[in-house]
Amino acid sequence: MPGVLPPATAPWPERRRRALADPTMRAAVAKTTRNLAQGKASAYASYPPGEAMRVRAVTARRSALAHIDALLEELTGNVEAHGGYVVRAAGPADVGRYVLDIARRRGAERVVKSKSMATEEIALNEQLEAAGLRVRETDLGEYIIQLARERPSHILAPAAHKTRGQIEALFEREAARTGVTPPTCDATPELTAFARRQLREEFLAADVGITGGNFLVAETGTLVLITNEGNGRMTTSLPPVHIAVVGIDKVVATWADLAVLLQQAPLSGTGQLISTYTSFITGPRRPGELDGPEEFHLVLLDNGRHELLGTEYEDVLTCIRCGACLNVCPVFRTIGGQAYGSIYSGPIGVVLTPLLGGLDHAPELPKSACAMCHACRDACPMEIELPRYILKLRRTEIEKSMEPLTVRLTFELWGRLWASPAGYRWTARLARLGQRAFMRKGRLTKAPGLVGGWTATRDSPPVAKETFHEWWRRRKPGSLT
Amino acid sequence: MVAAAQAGVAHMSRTGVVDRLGQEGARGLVQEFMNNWVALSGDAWLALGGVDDVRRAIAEAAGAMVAERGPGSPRRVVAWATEELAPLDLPGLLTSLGFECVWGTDWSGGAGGEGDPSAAPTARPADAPGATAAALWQRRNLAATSDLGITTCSWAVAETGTIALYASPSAGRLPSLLPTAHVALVRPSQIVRSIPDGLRLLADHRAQRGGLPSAVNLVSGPSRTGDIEGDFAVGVHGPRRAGVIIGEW
Amino acid sequence: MPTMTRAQLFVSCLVDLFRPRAGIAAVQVLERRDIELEVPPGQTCCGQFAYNAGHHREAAAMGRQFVRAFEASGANGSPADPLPLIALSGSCAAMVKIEMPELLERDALRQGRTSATAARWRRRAETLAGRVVEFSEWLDGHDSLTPFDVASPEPAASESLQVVCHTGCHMRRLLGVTEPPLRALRRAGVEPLELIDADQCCGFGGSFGLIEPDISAAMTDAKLAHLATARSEGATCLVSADLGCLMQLGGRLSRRGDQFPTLHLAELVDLADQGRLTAAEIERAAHGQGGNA
Repeated sequence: MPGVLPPATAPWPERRRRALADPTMRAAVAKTTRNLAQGKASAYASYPPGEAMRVRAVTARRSALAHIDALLEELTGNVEAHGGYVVRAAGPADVGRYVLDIARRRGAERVVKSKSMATEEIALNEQLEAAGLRVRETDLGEYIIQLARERPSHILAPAAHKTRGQIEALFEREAARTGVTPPTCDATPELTAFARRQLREEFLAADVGITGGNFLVAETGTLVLITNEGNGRMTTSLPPVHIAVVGIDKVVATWADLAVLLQQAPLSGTGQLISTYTSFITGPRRPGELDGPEEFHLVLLDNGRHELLGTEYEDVLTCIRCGACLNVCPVFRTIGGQAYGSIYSGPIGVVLTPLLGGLDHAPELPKSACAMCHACRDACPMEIELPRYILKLRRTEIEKSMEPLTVRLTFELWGRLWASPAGYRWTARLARLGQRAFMRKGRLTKAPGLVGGWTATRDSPPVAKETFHEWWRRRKPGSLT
Repeated sequence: MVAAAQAGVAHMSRTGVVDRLGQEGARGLVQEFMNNWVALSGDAWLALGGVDDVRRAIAEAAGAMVAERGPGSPRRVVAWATEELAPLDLPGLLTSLGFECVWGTDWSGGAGGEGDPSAAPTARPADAPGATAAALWQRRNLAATSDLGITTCSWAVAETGTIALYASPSAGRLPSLLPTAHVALVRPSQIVRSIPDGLRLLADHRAQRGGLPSAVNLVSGPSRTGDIEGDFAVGVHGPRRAGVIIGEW
Repeated sequence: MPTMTRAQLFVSCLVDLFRPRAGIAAVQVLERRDIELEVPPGQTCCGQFAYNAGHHREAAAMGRQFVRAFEASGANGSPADPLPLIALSGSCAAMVKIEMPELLERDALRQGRTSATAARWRRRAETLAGRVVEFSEWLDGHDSLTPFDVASPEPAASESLQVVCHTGCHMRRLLGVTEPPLRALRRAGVEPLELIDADQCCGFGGSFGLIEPDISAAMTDAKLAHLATARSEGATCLVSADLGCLMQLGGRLSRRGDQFPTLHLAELVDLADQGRLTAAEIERAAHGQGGNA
């Protein structure tokens, strides 16, 4: 079954306009991505085992996908053997229903969340809030974004586009709303301390903790959760109920596989050898234990993933959400994550959004959010062929006649003409005649049709009075001019 | 942070370290682990002179990592109730330093229901409602209001500066998480080279015990974030200070 | 004395139509190195633009013409000593070397041709792909060939010239050719500079640059901001072995009213060969006032 993704926040031209008109955001995103990309490069350079492990990790992920159904069954058995509950969810509504059932049974009112792309994908917060639950994001960046009612500008640094001043203002508003002391200034430690106080209260009062999961280990039924702030540990240790919503693609077979994978996300994402906190959770609190949740629920989310298995796009499911492709993408650096209109941004978002949500979901992304520079292919630790996938999506959109008729006809005519030297030469002559009307000071500054896109922001030299081939024919072969 | 680590290293003479650590390889791992932990903004002390030395390092760590609360308001410490910590008599040590200790018999808030910390968990029936829920609640709040958490660890990783904490009835998740500062005792022999090496020890544990702990946490330094303008900041959720004491006791 | 070497020149449509003097410069440079050049007259376009836009039917039509054109002369060299096919665009070289065999096979199948026919198209494209050498790469492999009519081996006044070298994304990532243009510049006697974020796309991106002119220009402006830094440190011109990038960067500069010189690598090497490598000559060459064309 195909998946369902939250609708785009606004039409593409509007999102693009907003992004390009926001120099603060663009500078912040450029700085963040450059730092993270450099961090990744120096991390692998300074840690030779990282590359050897990465190569084995690619095999581990691909092989897990090849056996995914058996692994999910094994995983389920092992989680249940440790007293956890496992449920398969086809899409957003299934997850919402399941979580709300638990909340109702437990009389739960307050939910804390550790950052999770899977729950963003299914707009779980909105579903729970609509049912009257209070949901609090606890990753600092997500918390800021939640207070601002925005979407993340980067999957690893969701609030990268917010300045300290803007964050202070948000926190002051929140302090007034909750009747607590606001931050005294916009210094990072002070803002961080405010968030710590506020969120600590939320953790202690929460009835349910919801997380995603970085990996699932089938052979022991273990959920692997990676965070730097510790909100993942809080969410899985304090509330009496822990619900993990995890894409089925996150399963790996063994601990040997996990051992080579575990450091890849921090190495590629933030340039750390390992994140500050890595949690391996195998079922709920055991008898006699002093803390930890009473209930552990694992919701295995499909939402269009199973349908990709066995297709030419299958490898996209090996993505570990490290964000490395975002950090090197020149388009992402220029427009930031919000412009993608999808919770998945950057090159992986260009691919994953239509693959999970359908080609109609964001038809502009493959052709408009990619300069085909191939930087993402080099950056991806899982060797996902992102440029080829994007190209394939462009092709599919054309095959499905999803582009304007004028564009299609232009390409058809062009293809026909340039398939023969005579046609090629004819277009050159025609252009030479036609371009006179569009020239200023020897440059083309305006042009009709597709080429008008070029001259919208750039000049072009005119088609030469004498082309190279014309010169070559004129010239006596072998002589120098 | 670095100063604290240097103070710890200076505590032992260089030859002393070599003598007690024996092989060159083990010494290298200890040094690498400490360097990497400190590089992650953690604090580190080396205390290889036996029980007294470790106690001295704990006292030093408590003093360095936890600020005074002011008169009439004692600092609070919470620790694991593992047998491994018993020879160090932490309650005695920390009480003498003016800390309020909230574990062992005090761990359940003075009700005395838990008995001897090392025996209590297995003796208690599995999660009976009512009293247990209240005790859990109280435990949480005590941990949340503690200034310092003390734990041991199951293994540590030299090349990443990581410690592994296994949850068990005597080793809770919260003492290393909720207090403002956390210090873990690490034996030199527990330090392995890499994360995969550590995970092999976890596999051994699984083979011996027939399963994994309900929660294993790998911790590499204090809680950190870069979410505000990319600025590095510590302690957004977990401990603001994270210390290790490498010692034999 | 080695016998005269022959090679085919893959001019690229952009050089042919918009910057013939880059192609002419390449001819001079190669012939000075005693290369007997053949320019297959049937070459039009490698189809890359259409290919990356997703219009593979059209790209394949151009691709088949490309194969026919370069096979037509019958001068393909022997399998042991294939005739090099020197490409004046790194990006187009990547198209032929990496994408074309699969494209032509797939398109033949789409047309309902037999799998044997499709496989034959693939083989023909593969043979061609094996002969393609990007221009700077070719120079790099033949640095023992010294131009025979160089006015002075150490061109005067060029020692202090600093030149910004932009290597296109496909040349960098698909061909893995990053050092040869830098070495070619050093051999020419200039000091090559790479910009901050040198590996970031200039904003061209084929069809992307036409569909998204504003994002594309914003990307170029980021590059030009780094270029401004290099200029303040003394860079005299911008050089690339890819005309697509040059047209993007030069076109944006021009739109901003900036006449900073942009040159194809062949043009710069040509100047160096003639001992004419001065800021003034670069300026003249960049604006089409050089002596060759």
